[in-house]
Amino acid sequence: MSLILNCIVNGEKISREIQDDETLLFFLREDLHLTGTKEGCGEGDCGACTVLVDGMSVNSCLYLAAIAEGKTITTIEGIAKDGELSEIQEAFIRHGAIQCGFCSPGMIVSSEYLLSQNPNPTPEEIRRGLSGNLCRCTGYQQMVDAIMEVAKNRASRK
Amino acid sequence: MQFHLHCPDTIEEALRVRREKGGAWLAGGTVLLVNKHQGKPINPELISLDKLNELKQIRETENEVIIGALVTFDELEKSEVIRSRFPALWKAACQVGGPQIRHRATIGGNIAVASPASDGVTPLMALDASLRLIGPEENRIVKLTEFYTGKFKTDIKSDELLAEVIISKNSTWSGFVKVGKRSALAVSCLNASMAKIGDKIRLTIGSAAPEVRYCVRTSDALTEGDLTKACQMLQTEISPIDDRWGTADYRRKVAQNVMTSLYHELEENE
Repeated sequence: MSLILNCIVNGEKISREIQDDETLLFFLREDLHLTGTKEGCGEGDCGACTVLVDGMSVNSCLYLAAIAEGKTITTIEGIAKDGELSEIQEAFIRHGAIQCGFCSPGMIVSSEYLLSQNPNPTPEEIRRGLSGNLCRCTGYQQMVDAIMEVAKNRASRK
Repeated sequence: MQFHLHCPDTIEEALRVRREKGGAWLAGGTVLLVNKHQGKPINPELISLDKLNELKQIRETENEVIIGALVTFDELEKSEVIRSRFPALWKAACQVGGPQIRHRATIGGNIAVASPASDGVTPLMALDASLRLIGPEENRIVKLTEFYTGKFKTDIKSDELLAEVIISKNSTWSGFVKVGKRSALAVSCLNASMAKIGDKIRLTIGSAAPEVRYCVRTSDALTEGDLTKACQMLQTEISPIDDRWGTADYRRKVAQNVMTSLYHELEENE
C-alpha cells in the first residue's frame, strides 16, 4: 500500500507518494536525495541518522515516514542557511571535531538540538546530550570544546 | 512491502481497526522498527498510536499519578511530578537509550514489549503500579506484578490497548540502579529498584529472570531490617542466565551489591 506524505523538509513543502513501511531515513535519502543523513546501524544505536522532527532530535531509521505527516523536518542540509555554515558547523571545523565526517551530520543536528534546549551546558551536559551519537574517530573532546565555544559566544552577544 | 500501516485518529477507531484486522500496536517504534531492520517477523498490519493525544498526558489526582501509555521517557524526565514523587522512575527514564530514543520510546511500549531487561518496569513494579487496559466492551485494571506471564508475554487480550499507568502517591522513597556496559544506549545487564510504601520495602530486579521480578521474600527480609537474610532470599528469587550482556554469576553478585547499596541509600534517607 502507498500513501501521500505531506510535510515540510528544510523549509520546503513536500508532497510525495511513499510506502507504508518506508522509514524517514529511506524517504530522505532515496526519495528526496538528501543524502547528508547517514545510515550507520539502522537500529537507533549510533545516531548517524539523526534529524529534527518538529524541533526534536530523532533517529530517522526508527521513524516511519508516514508518521511525519504534517510535521516539520530539519536535516543536516537545513542546518546551513543560504549557503552559510551554522555556528556549530564552523566551530566543529575549527576544533577538529570532524575526521572521517560520517557521524558529523547526526552529531551536528544533535548539537543544534542540545543548544536549543540548554543554551549554556556544562561539559557533562554536552556529553549526555551527545550520548545518542557515536564517533569512532575523534574521542568527542573536540565536539565538547566546539559546543562550549558556541555557547560562550552566544551568551556574550546577549 | 512488509506491512500496511493504519493511523487512527481516536482510541475508538484504533480498537475498531484492531478488532477488524488484528494487527500489532505501534507506539514509538524503537523496538518494532529494530525488529524490522533485523529481519524479524513483523505483523502485516501495524496500528500507529501516534495521533492518540489523550494517551500522552501525565495527570495527578489527590491519591494517584496517572501516566498515559504514550508518554515518552523524555517527557517523564522533564516532568517535575515524576522527578519529585517517583525518583526511581525518573532516574530510570533518564537512563533509557539516548536523547533520540527517549524522544520516541514510550512507557506503555516499554511495559507491553515485556523485555526482562526493561528499565521502565523495574521501578514501576517497586512502586506497585497498576495498568488500565481498554477493550471494546470494558476497561480493566491489572497490577503490574500480575501482568507478566512469561518471557516477553503479558496478560493483555488480543482486543485490548494498554492506556494508562497508575501509581499511588503512597511511596515515601524510591531508588533505582542500572548496570550496563556503557552509560547510554545500553541494554541493562541488571537493574534494580527499591521503594518504601508505608512500613513496607519493595525490591524489584530486572534482567535476572524471564520477567522483571518483585522479590517478595527478599522484600519481607528488608522490611524486617535483616540484610543478611535478604541476601540469602534474593538468590532464591532471581534466575539469571548467561547472555551477551552478562553472566549469571556476575548478575547474582551485582544484584546483591545493588540491593545492599539501595538499602543503605534508603536508610540514609530516613
